[in-house]
Amino acid sequence: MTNRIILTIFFIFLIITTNSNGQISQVYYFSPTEELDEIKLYNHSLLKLALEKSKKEYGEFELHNENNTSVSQRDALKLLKEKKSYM
Amino acid sequence: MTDGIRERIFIPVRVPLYKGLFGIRTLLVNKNKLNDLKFLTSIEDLKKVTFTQGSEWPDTQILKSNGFSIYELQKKEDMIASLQTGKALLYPRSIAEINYEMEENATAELAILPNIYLYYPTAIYFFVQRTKEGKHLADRLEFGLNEAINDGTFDQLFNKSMSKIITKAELDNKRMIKLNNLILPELTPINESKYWFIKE
Repeated sequence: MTNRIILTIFFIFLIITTNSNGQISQVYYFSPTEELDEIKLYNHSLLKLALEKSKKEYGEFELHNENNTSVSQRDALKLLKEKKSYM
Repeated sequence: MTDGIRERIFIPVRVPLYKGLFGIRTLLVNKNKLNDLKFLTSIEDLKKVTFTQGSEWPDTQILKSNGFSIYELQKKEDMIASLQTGKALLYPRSIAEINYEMEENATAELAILPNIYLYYPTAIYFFVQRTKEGKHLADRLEFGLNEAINDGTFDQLFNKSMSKIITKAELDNKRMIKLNNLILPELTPINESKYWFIKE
């Protein structure tokens, strides 16, 4: 898939962990490699904003770009499906 | 861009992240043919000429279902080339990507048709795993995005990131040709005006 429009999505998954302060939502996402940097930045900023705005009701969070890398959309879809097995 | 298949596999957070900007399609043309193409002013005119789009793109289905002729290709460079050879006359691109595409193909003689643009409703979402934890996260993101919309911080970020793109598109100087999007999933919040740049 090479359509930039189709690629303009983040795939996100969640692992809940606990520490001494209570539950922390570990939020991971994949950003498709083919995406423009500006688009990646906007998507990241919106994701962070949504998590910040829901902190009071849903608790603290840590946001991670999975492996700190970008992946192709095809790989992101595959990875997101695979993560089901270890969560 | 959302579609029925993706919404079945993952959980969509149904807040359009780009307020529908990716459905605003300005038309790339061969600069040398610009004068000949200025006669295109209506949907009926557009049905007489050939567009180019990616064969797997949802946009191709949308345009075809609106009665347009599409020269389908796999690679974007071939689509640009088809404008040069005349196999296609119009190459619709969203306003969020058209400037980049023109810069990337600076040696090709490209121009944007100055008098019209297409619009069809479409949404880009966050997609979350379809698991219990995923549902929790999707609920959280939907709540957080709506909070940000209601307190104005969503629009602040949107305007900061997208205002240049919107200004450059000069939409006020162009006529909008509105198309139907038959592949838009039923649950798209099309009537929630706060979510959209172009209100229904």
